[in-house]
Amino acid sequence: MKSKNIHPHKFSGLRLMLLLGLSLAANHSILFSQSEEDSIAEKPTARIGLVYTQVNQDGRLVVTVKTKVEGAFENVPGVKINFYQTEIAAENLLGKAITNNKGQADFLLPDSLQKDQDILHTYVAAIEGNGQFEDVAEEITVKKAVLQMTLEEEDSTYWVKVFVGSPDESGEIVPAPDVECKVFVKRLYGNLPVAEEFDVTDEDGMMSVEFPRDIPGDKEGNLTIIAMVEEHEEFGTLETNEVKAWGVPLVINQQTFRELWSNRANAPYSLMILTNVILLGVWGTIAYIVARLFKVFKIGKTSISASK
Amino acid sequence: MKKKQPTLSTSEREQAFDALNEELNPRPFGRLGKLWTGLLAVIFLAGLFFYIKQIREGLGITAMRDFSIWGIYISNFVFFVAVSLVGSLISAILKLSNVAWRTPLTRLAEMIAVSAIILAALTIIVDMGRPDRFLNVIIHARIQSPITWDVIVITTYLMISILLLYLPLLPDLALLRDRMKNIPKWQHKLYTWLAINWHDTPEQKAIMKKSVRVLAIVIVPIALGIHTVTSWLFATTFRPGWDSTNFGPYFVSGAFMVGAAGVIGTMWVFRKYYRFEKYFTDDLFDKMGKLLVLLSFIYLYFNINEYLIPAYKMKGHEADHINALFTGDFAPLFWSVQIGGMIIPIIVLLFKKGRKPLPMMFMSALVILGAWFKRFLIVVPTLEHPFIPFNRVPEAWKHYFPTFAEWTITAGTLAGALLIITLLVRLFPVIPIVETAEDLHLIDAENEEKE
Repeated sequence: MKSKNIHPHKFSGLRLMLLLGLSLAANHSILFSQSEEDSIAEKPTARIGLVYTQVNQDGRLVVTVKTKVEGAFENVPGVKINFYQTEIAAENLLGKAITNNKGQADFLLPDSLQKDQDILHTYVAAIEGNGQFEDVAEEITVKKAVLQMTLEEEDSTYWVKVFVGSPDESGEIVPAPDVECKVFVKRLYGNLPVAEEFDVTDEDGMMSVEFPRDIPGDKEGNLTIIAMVEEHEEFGTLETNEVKAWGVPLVINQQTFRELWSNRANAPYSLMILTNVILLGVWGTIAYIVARLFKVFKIGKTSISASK
Repeated sequence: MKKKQPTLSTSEREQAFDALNEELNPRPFGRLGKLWTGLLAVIFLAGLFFYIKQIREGLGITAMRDFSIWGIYISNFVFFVAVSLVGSLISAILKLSNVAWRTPLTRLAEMIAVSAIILAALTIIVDMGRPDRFLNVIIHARIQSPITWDVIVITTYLMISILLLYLPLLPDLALLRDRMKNIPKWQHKLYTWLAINWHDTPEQKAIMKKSVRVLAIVIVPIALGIHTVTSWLFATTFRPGWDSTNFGPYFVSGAFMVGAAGVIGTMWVFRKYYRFEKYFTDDLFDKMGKLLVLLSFIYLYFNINEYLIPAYKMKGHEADHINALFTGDFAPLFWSVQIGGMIIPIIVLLFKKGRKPLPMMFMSALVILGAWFKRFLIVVPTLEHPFIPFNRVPEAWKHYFPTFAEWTITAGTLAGALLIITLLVRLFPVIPIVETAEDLHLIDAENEEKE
């Protein structure tokens, strides 16, 4: 995977003439005020980070847009990114996406690109015609690759076997040696590595790692096992995953306790009794007073009748 | 107000009672009153406009973010709850202590209490991102949660405060029904409806007096409860500045102080614009001044407890919080509030000259202003010093400063509270007429004496 900053082709004939005209006018103080010149000069530059990620054969481009604010880089949300294949040209436009609150835009590549015969693919992500930032683009070149994972049990030992390969010129998949790949288990807040160290792939493109037997899974012991090649120079990030019941089944303790931190149905009896006694005592008094007000009303009515 | 011996003849007493009635009846607003009401209505409507905007666009229009989850809405809520405690102070504590000079203040205190507690409840709804889900707080209530306790105790306190305003008002309502001429029909109907056939019969008086006494007893623990539970909303969480066992009495003492200041400020307004010098006398100001000094000293004591011990130990995050208050970003506000809103009023009110109406009014204003900002200092600095450090959050999220919308909505709620008091004053006597007449022996009070 190779990436570089490129400048989009913006000097079309019409644009060149317009620029020349504006340059001449710029010398004329009537047309351009000082403040307008300043505002053009001060248009900030955004920085684009472009990464290729392939999960279970689905390729996607992930862009992060940042800009410098008071000396530190901050993510920029709401920026439209144009994605191109090969180079910036209208006919090469793959699609568009807008950066989210984290300044990220995610673009799923079409199936056709995965299935074509090309071994190398070049992608460009570009900010164009943005009112806030200068035009800027980032290019990335990735080599097609496959990542396969097999889960095997041998003599009561679990093994995760990973194969990394890449098509040659004839389209046949050949092993990719010396590729760093890792195996994880998906957890709630991230991926847990199943070993402290991992080997690189051998000359057959293979890497094996023993899978621990003590990782807690769901009620059935299911775990999501992930094999991953992270940010490889040629292939980008490759990932494949599979659900397997290799974990320790989770046993949920169904016994409930009446505690302060329990749910509303399991409030401590002492608290319930105390609050209800107070509530009944106070609201009982209020109800008594309101009832006395009805009595006041009735007495008044009787006294009117008596006086008549 | 000195009690007079009943040396007047019956006709003289009747004449004096008529004059008293004339003097204390609610009266239509003059130009100034209309201007005041209009101004409050405009501020209230501006707040309402921004609240509708907040409902449409969400709490994103406020400055509250992931860390500063509470801002001036909650500070304002605590302020309102604090002010509402004055009802129990004057109507219950002083009544049960047989303090005779409280008579002219009871109605005013209850009016302030009712308006403050209504707005406290509304302010909590204003703070909710999804007010349409408010009923869920009741439907899915967890009795273990202090928020549930708060909802219960606020509702209870509101109900008792309304009853404590309404019950002693009954004889006056009957007077207004029978004696007030040249009033619109709806107003007469309102008095008739609210007077519930009150005819000053001994049985009616007995029921009323007994009910007020029962309520005066019941409201004391509820009043302590309402502000203690409000303090527990903070103290039951584990955060620097809030993790304190001192919070309950600290909040309650502060509440009595600001409530008393609220009554003094309002007394001054009525003395000046309703010419109530005869009722809100220099002597009454002097007594309220002494009461305010006493309450301020108690609050000062709890302040020393609240800040001195953490400042002595200077433990980790508590130290950051204390430093922010004592010498950091919040120091100017903190010291202004502590000195201006507590120390200066204490010093001034210790002197007899300082307990004259005008200086008292200024000191009360200082106490009220200080009390509002004190609630801000209780809520915001703690949230800006979380145990889990700020990580990858925009700079703006680390510091809270209310947006224009928040200020306007908050101003709207304050105007709303004053508007309720203003409307109550427009319709009902500020000073209890019958009770005052009884104190002056202008009417026979034998019935309730027996009771």
